[in-house]
Amino acid sequence: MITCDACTTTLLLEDAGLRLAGEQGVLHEVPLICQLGDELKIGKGRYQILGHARFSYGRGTWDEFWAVDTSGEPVWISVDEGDLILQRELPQKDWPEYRGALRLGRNLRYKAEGFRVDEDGTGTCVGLNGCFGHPLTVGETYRFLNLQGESGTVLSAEIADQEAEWFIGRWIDPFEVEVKTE
Amino acid sequence: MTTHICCYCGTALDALDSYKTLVKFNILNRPETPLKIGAAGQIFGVDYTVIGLLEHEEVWQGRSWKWVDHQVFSATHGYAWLTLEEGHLTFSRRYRKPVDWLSKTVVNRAETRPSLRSEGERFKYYDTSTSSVTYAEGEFTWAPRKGAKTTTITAMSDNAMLGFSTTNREREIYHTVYLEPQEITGFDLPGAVKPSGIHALKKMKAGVNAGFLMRAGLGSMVICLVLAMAMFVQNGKLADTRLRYSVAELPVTIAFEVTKPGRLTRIDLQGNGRNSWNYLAVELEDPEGEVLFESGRTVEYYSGRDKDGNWSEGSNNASLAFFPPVTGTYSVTLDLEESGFWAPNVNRGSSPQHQITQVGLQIRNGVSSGFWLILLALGFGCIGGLPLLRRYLHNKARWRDSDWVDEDDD
Amino acid sequence: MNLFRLIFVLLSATAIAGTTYVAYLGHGGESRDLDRSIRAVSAGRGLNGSIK
Repeated sequence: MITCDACTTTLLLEDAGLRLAGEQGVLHEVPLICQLGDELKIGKGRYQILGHARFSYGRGTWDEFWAVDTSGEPVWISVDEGDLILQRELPQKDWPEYRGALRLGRNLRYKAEGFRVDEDGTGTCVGLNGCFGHPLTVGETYRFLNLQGESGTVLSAEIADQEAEWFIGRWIDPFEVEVKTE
Repeated sequence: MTTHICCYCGTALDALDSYKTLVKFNILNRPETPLKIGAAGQIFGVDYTVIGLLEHEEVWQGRSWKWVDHQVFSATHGYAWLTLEEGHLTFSRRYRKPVDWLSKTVVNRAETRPSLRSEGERFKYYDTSTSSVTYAEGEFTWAPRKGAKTTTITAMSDNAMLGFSTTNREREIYHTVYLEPQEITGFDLPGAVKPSGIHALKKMKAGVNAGFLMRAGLGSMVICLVLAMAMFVQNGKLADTRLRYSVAELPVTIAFEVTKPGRLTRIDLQGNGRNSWNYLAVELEDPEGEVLFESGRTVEYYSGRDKDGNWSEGSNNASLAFFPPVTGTYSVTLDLEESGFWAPNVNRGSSPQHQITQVGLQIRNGVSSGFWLILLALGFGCIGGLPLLRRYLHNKARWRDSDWVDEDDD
Repeated sequence: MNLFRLIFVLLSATAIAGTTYVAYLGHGGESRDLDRSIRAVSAGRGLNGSIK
C-alpha cells in the first residue's frame, strides 16, 4: 500500500492494479527519533523505514513505522513518547490462545512466558506517508492491546471489526538506535 | 503522561481522568535545586527538558535523607530522571531488558551478597530503601501520592545501578548511570556544581598513564625478580678444589688466586658437628701480606626428637664474602677458636652430641648477588601497585554506603 | 606512546641494566661484619713486626 504525495490519496497496490483506498491524512512535523527514508541500526539489525503512520488515542498520538530488514522481512517500529517497540507480525497459527475476553490486567501464557495486558485502548489513524505492507485507512479506528511479558517480550494485538492481527517483539532503548538519514 | 501538578496551587491532576484532583502539594515546600522546570539542555548529546520536580524522603532509625528527582523529557528519546544528590548528578531511565526481579525475600535470605546478571553485566546488591514523595510539581509519567511508600532495592555493576522499585503492587526497574560534567550541558546549570566525596556510581577516572604505569611497573618487577634469581644461582668459579681438613690440622693457611678484582669472592665453610657449635676464625691476607680482615663464623647444627617428632635447627654451613681489592694470591687462615656442646635435658639418647671433626672449605670467585635487584623489584612493585591501590580504595569508597552485611560478620 | 611513557621506559631500562651489572659483580652479597682494622692477631702470623 502506498500513499501518493501529489494528490494525498492512498493507493492499494494489488495484483489487479491500483485501487483507491483513502486519504493520506495530515502528518505534522514533530521531532521524532527517525523519519521516513531513514535506515535504523539496532544491534545487528538494519531496518529501512518505508512507511510512517500516526495514530491518535484522544489525548495524544503515537507513531508507527513500517520497515524492512536486510532480508526483506517486514517489521513494525512503534514510537510512543520516546519508547520504541520493534515487532513482527505473527502468522495466525502462532497466535496466543486464551479463553474469554482480554482486558486490562488479564494474564496469559505464551511460549512459556507469562504476559499481562498492560494497555487496552483504541486508536484512530490520523496520517499516513510512504508504503505499508497491508492496508491502512486514515480515520479507521482499531482496538489495540499491549501485553508485557516477564522476560521483556511485548505482544500486541490490533483489532478492527472482526479482524485481528497479532505482533510479537521487544522494547528498544532509543540510545541504542543509530539513525542514518538519507 | 498521566499527572500534572499545578505549579500555582500544587494540586495533582490526573491527565488521563479529566484532570481529576489527586493530591495537593504545598508550593512553599519546593526544594532548592539548580535545575528549574522548563530548563533545557543536552544529556549524552540528546536534547532534554525538565518538566517535573520531585522530592523524596527516606526515614530510617531516626535519621532522614532527602533528594530531588527531576523528570526530563526528550521528544526523540522519551522520559528520564535526573537526580541531584550532594552535588552528584545521575541519569535514570526505565529498564525494559530481560532481568530477574530482585526481591526483598531474596535479599533477606541470601547468605552472601546477592547478585544478578543482565545484558552481560553483573550487578551486586547495594542497598534497600523505603521512601515517600514529600513534594511534587510539574508533569510526570505516574501519579505521585503523598505518603505512598516505595521500596527500592538496588544492585550495582561497574558502570551502572539497577533499581527495583515496588509501590503498592506496581513494579518498575530503573537503570541509573553517573553523569560526568562533560556529559551534561545546558539546563542553566551554574558553572561548577561541586560534588562532594565519591558517589557510589562514580567511576574512577584513572590517569591516562595509570594502566601503563601498572603494567610497566609490575612487568619491570617481574624482570628484576627473574634477574635476581639468575644472580642468586650464579656462583662464580671455584678458586681451587674443594678442601677438607680434619680439626687436628687446624690452624691451616690456604692460598688462592684472584684474577678478577672487583668481583665478589665467597668463602664457604662446612662443619660436621651435631648438637654442637663451633666458632671458626677466618683471617684473610692480601697478596702483599696485609691483613684484610679478621673475622669468623659459627657453624652449628642441632637435632633431636621430642613428642612432636624430629626437629633440627641451625646449619652446618656458613660463609663470608668480600671484594678482593687487587689481583694476586691471597691467603686465608682458618682455625677452630671455640666450640661447645649443647645438650637437651631430656631424650639424651636421641640427641647425640658430636664434636666437629672435619672442616670443609671452598672458595669461589666472581659470585653474584641478587640483593639490589630485589630492592629494585620492590621499588617497581610499589610503582606498579600504586594504580592498583588507588583502584581498590576507590572501589571501597563506592561500596561504602552499601547496607549489605554478611551473615558471618556480626 | 607519549613522552611520559617513553621516559619511564628509558629510565626503567637504565635502572634495571645498571642494577643488574652491579648485582653481577656481587654487590649486596658482601659480609658486613668483616673487621677491616688491624687489631691483635690471633691464629696467624701477625704483621711481621711492621705496623703501618
